[in-house]
Amino acid sequence: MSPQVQSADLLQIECDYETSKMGVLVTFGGIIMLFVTFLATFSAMVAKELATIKLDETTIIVAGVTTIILIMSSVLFHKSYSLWQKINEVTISNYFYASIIFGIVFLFGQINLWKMIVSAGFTSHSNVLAGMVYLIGGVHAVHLIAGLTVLGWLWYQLIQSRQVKPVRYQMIGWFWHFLTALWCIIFVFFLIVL
Amino acid sequence: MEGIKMSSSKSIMSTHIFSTDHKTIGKQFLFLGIFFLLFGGFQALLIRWQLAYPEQPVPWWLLGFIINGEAGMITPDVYNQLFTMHGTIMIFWAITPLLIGAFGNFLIPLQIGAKDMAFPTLNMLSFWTFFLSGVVLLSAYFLPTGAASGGWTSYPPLSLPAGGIPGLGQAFWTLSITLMGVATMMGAINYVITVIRLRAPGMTYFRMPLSVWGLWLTSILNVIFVPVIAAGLIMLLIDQLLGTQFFLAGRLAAGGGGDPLLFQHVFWIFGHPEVYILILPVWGIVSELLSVFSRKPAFGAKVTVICMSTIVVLSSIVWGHHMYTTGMSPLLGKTFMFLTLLISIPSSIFFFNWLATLWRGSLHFDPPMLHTMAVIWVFAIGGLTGLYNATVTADIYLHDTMFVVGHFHYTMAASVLFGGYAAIAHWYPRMFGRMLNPLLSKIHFWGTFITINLVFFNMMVTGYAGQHRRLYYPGEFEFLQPLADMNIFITIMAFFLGAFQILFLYNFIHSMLKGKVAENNPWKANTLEWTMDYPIPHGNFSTIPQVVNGPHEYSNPNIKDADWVCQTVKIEGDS
Ligand code: HEM
Ligand SMILES: [Cu+2]
Repeated sequence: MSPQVQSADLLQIECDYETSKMGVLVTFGGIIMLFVTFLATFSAMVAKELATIKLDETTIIVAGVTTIILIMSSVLFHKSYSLWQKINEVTISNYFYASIIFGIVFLFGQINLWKMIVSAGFTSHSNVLAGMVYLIGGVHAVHLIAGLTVLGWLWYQLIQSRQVKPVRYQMIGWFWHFLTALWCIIFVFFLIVL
Repeated sequence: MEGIKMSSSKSIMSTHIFSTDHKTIGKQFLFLGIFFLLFGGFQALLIRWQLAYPEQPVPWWLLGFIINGEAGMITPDVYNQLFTMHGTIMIFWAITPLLIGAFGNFLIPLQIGAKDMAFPTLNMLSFWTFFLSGVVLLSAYFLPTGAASGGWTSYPPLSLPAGGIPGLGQAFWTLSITLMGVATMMGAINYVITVIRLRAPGMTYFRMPLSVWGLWLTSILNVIFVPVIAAGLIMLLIDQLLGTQFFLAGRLAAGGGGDPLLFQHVFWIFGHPEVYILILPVWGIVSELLSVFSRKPAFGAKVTVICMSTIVVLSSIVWGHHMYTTGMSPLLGKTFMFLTLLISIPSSIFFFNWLATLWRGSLHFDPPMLHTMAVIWVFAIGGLTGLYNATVTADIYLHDTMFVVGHFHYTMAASVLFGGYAAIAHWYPRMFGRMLNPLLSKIHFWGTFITINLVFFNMMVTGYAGQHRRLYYPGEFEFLQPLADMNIFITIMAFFLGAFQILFLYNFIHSMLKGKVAENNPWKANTLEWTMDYPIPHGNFSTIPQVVNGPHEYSNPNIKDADWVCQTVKIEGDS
């Protein structure tokens, strides 16, 4: 067998893992561009002084707490993944459930947060900046719901004791961490700009 | 018995409808693209009818009976819908599937020596999402207020209910383009990664055929910029449906209000790269075919690649040239002008590479070559007229005139049409195992070439004379009345142009059934897609090829009895 043929075979075997990783990364790139555009538009609206928005301290604290909850969810997911790897990739850990629950709590926290901002008088119709805050949070939440759906799928596979490809578990984790990081950036951005 | 039936019907579903074979998906895109091309072309003829014969009902041979306005006349509303849907369909549902969908799918795995795309299922989903987006787009015709009519650029406030256009047509437009963007993203992610990961051993980046380069760069632009327009469209959609006011200002905005110009920025930050998204595959295909049909290596192939990549980068920072007349600061205007004119440097370099490939080549004027050479001509005119548009002082006059319409039909419509026809003529034998009828192809080519120039060049003339684009009835303005004859002439030529496309359609379908059976490599090309027997099975290569040559090594003096050599065959005497 000549060395070239070997490398061709290797390519076919290896590509699954590397290719999936790359696919996920490029997808992140696309999602990042989506949010970059939102944030850039938001900044332009601030720069043009189209509206102002002033949040009271409680709102900011609540937002901080929900952010921490999302970070916790991400950390817990990572724990569940490491544990899963250790225990021969079959059983499901409590970390996994906790991660899902924290994710859901975050979503409800977001809804609560929106309500607080609305009751402070900043509605999507009267204030474009508030509209952008709802929009950006909403589009992020849609991604989170998609993430939760995938987590649900993973949960189903695990309780059925099906063989889950390690790369799948890992990539789902990446997506979850990515959404957390994305939210943190958005949050800090709002804090700085508003 | 039951089981057998089940499995055979399932296999038709999985081999022809929900196939994950990139070649089948490519053909699906091709058929859908041709359908939309004809549909968009038909709308163009109706637009031209109105511009030439404004007060006459549409005749039966233009299907006048489906225009339900007053006695078959095109009303202003219908006219607005026509040019809006024409532009939208041609750009997003005709050119995109023809070049990127069809040839991106068909060529990339075959030419880089891969068994399929990196994510075949995603690829299948991409086509069906695309199909769904087309259904949403067309279903707007059944709305009581009709389809979108705010132009393909859909600028607010016009495109918002508060700003002018009532009904849901605009929202359907926005939604369908968003869906189309999702489909495009799925395809683009696939293409980008397939090229990075699945190149056969020895297929280095610079050994990839230039067609693959063009398609790959296009996909990179798609991944970066489709999300940008997605963001703008989401904002526009909730403005349209939920009554937010991101893009409303002044008296139209009840509360705080936003700024309509923001949409223009977002639109063109995507929109200018988009025009390169559409043309890059053509540049790649032209660079490759010129080499095949001149039997010479593509002159300065690496430089061509570098130039195309440079243009990809530059294309993202020139969007402001679409907005000179929006009152931007003169400094900003000049900056955009400078950056835009900068693009002409890499453009002219690869353009001269094309000419140098032809220079003293052994030119074979087969139909693919005729179409390829036509691209050189129409793209030259289109590119040069771009310079006038890019110059602020000239553009303040030319903006929103038929001159701009002529410019972008040369660069986009004519170039992409000829590029697409070149690709179809060249790879038809690989797709369908038969040859197109060469005589019909040549008649189609010459008919198209002559009429298309008469149509679009004269559009620029009317624009230079002051005729604005999107006018319902130019004759209303006294200073445009002398152009009436010219407008009639353009329209008549457009009818001929359309008629020649029917000839193409006939040739395309007839040859598929009755055409001459093709040999495996009728054009004696080097690239990998010609190495296997027709029909090419799902999985393409029984063993992954080992590539040892560049793609365009024609007339190598070290090869004795042929002027070509497959990319997998080692040339004796070459280092
Ligand atoms: C080669 C260099 C090019 C330059 C310098 C150039 C420059 C311009 C400029 C300045 C405009 C704005 C004109 C106006 O609205 O007043 C314009 C419009 C346009 N160009 Fe180009 N262009 C070039 C190539 C292309 C190519 C390759 C394509 C497409 C494949 C293209 C497609 C378009 C389209 C679609 C529009 C009009 C959009 C609209 O307003 O509806 N251009 N071009
Ligand atoms: Cu442009």
